[in-house]
This record gives sequence, C-alpha cells and structure tokens, in this order.
Amino acid sequence: MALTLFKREILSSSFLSKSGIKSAMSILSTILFTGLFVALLCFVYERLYGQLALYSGFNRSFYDFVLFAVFLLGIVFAVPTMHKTFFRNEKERIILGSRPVSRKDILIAKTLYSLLRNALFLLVTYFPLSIVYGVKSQADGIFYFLLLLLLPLLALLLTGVSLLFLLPYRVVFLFLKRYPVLAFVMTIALSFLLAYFYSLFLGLFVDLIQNSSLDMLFTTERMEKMASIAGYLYPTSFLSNTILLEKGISFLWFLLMTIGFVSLSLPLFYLYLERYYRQGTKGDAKKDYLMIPVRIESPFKALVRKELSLVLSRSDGFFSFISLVAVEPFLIYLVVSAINVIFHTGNLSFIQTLFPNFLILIDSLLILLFLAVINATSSLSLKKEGNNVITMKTLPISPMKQLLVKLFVPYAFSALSYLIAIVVLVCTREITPVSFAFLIPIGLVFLLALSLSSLHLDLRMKKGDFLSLVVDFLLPVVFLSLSFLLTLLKPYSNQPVLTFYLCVLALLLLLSGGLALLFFLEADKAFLRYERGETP
Amino acid sequence: MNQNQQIAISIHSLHKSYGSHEVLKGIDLDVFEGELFGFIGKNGVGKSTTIECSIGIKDFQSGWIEIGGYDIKKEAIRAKQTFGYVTSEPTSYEEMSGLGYVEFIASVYKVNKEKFKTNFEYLAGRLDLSLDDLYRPIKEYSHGMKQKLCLIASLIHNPKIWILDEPTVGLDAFTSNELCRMMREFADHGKTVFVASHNIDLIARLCDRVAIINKGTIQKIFSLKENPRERYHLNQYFLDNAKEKEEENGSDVI
Repeated sequence: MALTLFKREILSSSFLSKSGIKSAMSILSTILFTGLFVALLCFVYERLYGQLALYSGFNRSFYDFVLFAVFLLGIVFAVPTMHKTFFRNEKERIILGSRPVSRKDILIAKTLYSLLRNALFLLVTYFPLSIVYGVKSQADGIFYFLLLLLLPLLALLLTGVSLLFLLPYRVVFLFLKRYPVLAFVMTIALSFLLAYFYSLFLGLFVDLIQNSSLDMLFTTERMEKMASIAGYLYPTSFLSNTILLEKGISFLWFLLMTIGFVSLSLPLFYLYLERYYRQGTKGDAKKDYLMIPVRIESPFKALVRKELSLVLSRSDGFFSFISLVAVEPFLIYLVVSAINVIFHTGNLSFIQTLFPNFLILIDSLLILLFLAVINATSSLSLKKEGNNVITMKTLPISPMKQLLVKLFVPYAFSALSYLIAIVVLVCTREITPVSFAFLIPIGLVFLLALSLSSLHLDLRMKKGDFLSLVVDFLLPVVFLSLSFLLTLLKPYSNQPVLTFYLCVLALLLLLSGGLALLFFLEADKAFLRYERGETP
Repeated sequence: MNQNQQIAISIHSLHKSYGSHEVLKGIDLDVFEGELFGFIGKNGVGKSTTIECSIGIKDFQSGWIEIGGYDIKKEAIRAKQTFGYVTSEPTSYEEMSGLGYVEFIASVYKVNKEKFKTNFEYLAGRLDLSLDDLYRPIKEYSHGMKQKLCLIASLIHNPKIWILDEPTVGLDAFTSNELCRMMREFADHGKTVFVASHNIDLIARLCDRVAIINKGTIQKIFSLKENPRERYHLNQYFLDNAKEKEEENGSDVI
C-alpha cells in the first residue's frame, strides 16, 4: 500500500500532473534553470577556492562551511515542501481517512517522497560543490565513491531533521493562516532577510566577476575564526571527515545522528498525523458554533483583509503579484548595477562625458519600467474580481471607499518593495543621495498614477488589456524622455540633475492629479456602469 | 393586499436599455412587507435586469426604485443595508474560508459578535453546513455548498428584505425544501421575500403574490393568497401567454 501511495505522490507532483506540452515545458525549464543554478554555484565556489588557496589549509575549513550552509538551506527548503506534501490537499484526509489505508502507510509514502526530493536537492547542491572541491584538492577516487554513497544517508538525515521542524512550522502556518496581516508582516521581514543575503551573494558574485581580490571578506582574523569553528559544524563536519578519510569514527557519529533524528521525528510526526486524520474522518460537526472564535471588525478593516487575502492568495501562475513584488528590489539592483558598470567603464564611458544626465536617465527609466511592468501585468485590478463585482456592488459601502481600498492594498505592497529597492541602490552607491531623495516621491507618485490609470481603464473600457499595457509602458518612457530633453535646453543647464528630476516630478504630479480628480468625480457612476467587462 | 401594509420594494416606470436595445419598458411594481413575492418570466425578458437595477448593481435610464424605504440611487448605502441578496450563481471570495467570508460580510454590515454567533449558528444549522466545512477554503466547496454559504451570508445581518434570484439551482432536494420553509418563515415574521425563478411550480406553491414579466413589462400580477385556486392555473397561464406573445412578435425569440 505504501508503495502505491508513493507512486501516487510522484504522479501528482507538479511535473507529472501536467499533460503533454505543459509537462515537457515544465521539465525543460526546470532542467534549464537547475543547470544554470548548478553552473553558477560551481563557478562561485571554484573562484572562491582559487582565492582561498592563498591561505594554506583554509579551503578544508571552508568546505565544512559550504556543506553546513547547504544543509541549512536544505532544511529551509524541505520544511515548507514537506508541509505541502503532507497537508496540501485537505480533502486527502477524507479520501484516505475513510479508506482502509493505515496512517503508517501514508507516513511512509510521503516520507519516501520527501526523501526523494531532498536527495534531488542534495544532488544539485552538495554533490556538484563537493565535486568542485574534490577536483580542486586533487582528491582520490575513494572521495567520489564515498560522496555518492553518503548522499542518500545525508538526504535521510535532512528528512529526519526537517520532519522534526515540520510540527512547529505547521503550528505557525495555521496561526498565520488565521491572521493574514501578521502573515504579511512576516513576509516582509523575511523579504528583508532574503534581500540581505541576496545582496551579500550578489556582492560576492560581482567581486568575483571583476576578478578583484576578496581581501575585505576573507581577512586573516576571519579565516582563523572559521578554521576554529569548522570542526564543530555538526552533522556536516562528520560527513566531510568521513569522505575525506580524516577521522574514521566520524562515520559512526554521522550514522548515529541520522538514526537518532529519524527515529525521534518519525514517531512524533506519526502521532500528529494520526490525530490529523482522525479529525478528518470523525469531523467536528458537533462542535459548538457559539464556542468558535469570531473575528468581526470595522468595514474598512474587513475590506483591507479581503484585499489582502486576494493579493496573497490569487496567483497568475509564475508572474504572481507578490512574487514579482518580492523580487523587484533584486531585479532593479541587478540591472541598475550592471548598467552602471557598463557606462562607467569601457568604451561607453564617453556617453557619460557628452551627456552627464544620460546615466541618470537610464537608471531612472529602468527603475520606473520595472514598476510599470510589475503593475501592468500583475497588480490586482478590478476585472480580476470577476463575478464578485456583484458582491461588491451590493455591499453597503460606497464604491469610492471600496475602490480606494482596492487601490491602497496593492499600492502598499508595490510602494514598500520600491522603497526597499532604492534604499538598496543608495546603500550600495548605485545611485546618489540626490537621486535617492528625488526618486522616492517620483516612484511613489508614478505608482499612484499607474494604479489610477489602470483602474480608470478598467472602469471605462470593456477590453482595455492592450491599451493599458501600452499606456503603462509608454508612461515612463514619455515622461523621462521629455524631462531629459528639457534638461538639454540651455537655460537649465546649470543644474541638469535637479532640473531633470523636477521636470519628471512636475509632469507626474500633473498626470496623477488629473487622474485623481477624474477618479473622484467619476468613480461612483463608473463603478455602477461597470459590468464585469462583459458585453450585455 | 391589506392597504395598511408598508411597501418594502417600490419600482416605478423603470426603463433600462443596452445601447438601442430596450430591455425594461416601464416596470411598475410594489412589494409589501410580510409578503413572499414571486417573479417569473422566460430567459432574457428582463427578470434579472429588474432585480439588478433594484438592488443597485445596474444603472437605469429612467424611473425610480425604493427599497426598504430608501431611493436606490440617492440613498444607495442605506438601501443596501436593508436587504440580503442571493444570485443564481454563487458569488463569494473563493480564497477565503467559509467562515472567513461570512465574517467579512458581517463586518461590512457592522453585525456585532453576539448577534453574529446567534445568527450564524441558526443559519448554518438549518442549511446543514458543518464547522468543519466552514473552516475550509470556499474553492474546495461543491456548487451546492457555495450556494448554502451565500444564503447564510445574505441573512447574517438579519435584513428586512430577502432577494433571491433562482436560489434553488444546484441545491439538493432536502436543502431546497429547507430553503422554501425559510422563505415562508421569513415572510411570516413580517419581512419581505422577493424571489425570481423559472420553477413555476415552486413559485405557485410558495408565494403570496406573483408577477409575470414578459418583454420588459409586467404582464400580470396574481394574488395567490387571496385566490388560492389561481395556484393551479399559474403554470398554464404562463405557458399559454408566453406562446401568444411569441406569435404576436413573429419569430422574435423571447
């Protein structure tokens, strides 16, 4: 039975559950991205190895750090994935719970599936990195043999540890599901953390590309500290000791740790799973309705919560609004820094001499284009309400208030993401403090203009997709080009940067003011006329 | 009808066009408090449009509508507080849980917690939605369960008027029967039910008065409470008249 369930898990995985060309595309794109990821990882590690070779013996300690980081990353990825595997389909507990399937079989099948996924994760992280280490340190054949041999054991340990973390993760997950605002705050905090790690990694990558030394990062003091703690990075230091044939006893410890974690986490998780499935089959219909916690709040808060639930859970596939907003600071930083490198060095630096504002124009254009693309393709517009427009129209809240909340929630996400992006840019000196000061109001007003124009087009037109896209793309180009051209005029040439930004801001304020006025004058009537974009 | 009864829904000279196509050609209708009022007509004759204009979902060119004593155009917010509305196709935010959706609606109508719990327990119990179901996301619900949820949401604020457009579509026989009983009880408590349906048998059995709409006008109003024998003739009248109208208008599809 466990095997049948295991097969079903594999068949219902995201690759195989799709049909025909979709499945092929999905597999192909995954292979492509994984290949790129592995290549990038190996490239960075190989370069770092070269840099660290200057310090005798430090590569060995660094290898321990790399393995430990991979293991931690594995846990971070495995816990939510395993949570999905066990609890993704709420109906499953009714489907399986009402059939002669033992909880043990369910646990084994799902754990095996998770084990397979974790092994695949290690195969694209731990394995290639170790191969780079092996090649660079001219390791013996036994190193590669043990590397392969211990991969399943490491996957088992990763699964055992992740299973142990799964229960607290589930508690937090269920708690946050009930409080989307708190979930939102947590998401933002996590995004900050990820942005920080991303900037560290990107800095390292850029440094390696430019072939400069990493003296700032790897000081002698840090290296010695690293060497002193590398031996204590359990359980991965046991693993590296084993495959490098340094301490024979390490394998025993590694094995004991694996057995220990698995034998502790499996029974614990089994108890929870048993309770979870029992609840599903017995149901709680007898629960007292009067005893349930109820959340009644002000109409405004209720509307904000509704919009949050739409923003957080409604997805348009890969380009979901939240995922795009989350990666927006990364993308902006990546592109702006690359453009700055190109225009500050090499053959194109003459452009900067001829037109001092050109780079500012390009940077600003890129930033605003990113904002436009993300808002044009993914912001939560009125048409996405679909049939719920009927519900909206029957609510005893003025259309104006409802539409303002509809504007405000995605705007808050976009604005926050944008602010993070430009803070990162100014901290990394990709833009000047003057640009930073001007880009704050420009970006925020531009976002407002985009949101207003998008909503206005939604309300006014039956099929405004193409036009709204054109408008969203043209807006930044027209405004910035116009402002740039104005700075070329002689009377303004003393303060070209200030003139440029002031022109952009003035034009944007004019546009947003006009759109806002139009919105306040027409929103109520236009909303009443709006009929889900259908031809009556 | 008793002349002392207050008017709950009042529609006068309602005209509505989509471009050059006139759908409603002067609807006149008064629905009283404590009445279970049926509204029947074939597809495309303006049944849903009349309801949607009445509750402020659609704009209209001329005429006036009062609901719960408030003009739907001039005092839309107050008017909307007086009624609960159920569509034939259940509409709700599928990302939310059933409970979350009803909480949302209750918050918007400013229902207090105690009142919410009492109403919620009563409605969920009558429509047989368990707490287990209500904690699940709506997207996992069947069509019938979604409709039950919309029925609960439409009554959670204890409205004076209950407007239903084809409410029995997708409901099982048990729930459909329970819903009919609820509509009757609602009207018996001095409130108003306005129900549109294709199911003439159901309307004939249940309603106090019935209006037949055809080609954008009210063709006839039957007082079934005063003349119970008309309940048996309603179906035949409806079919004969619809056929007659079709013949009058040549090949024009009603």
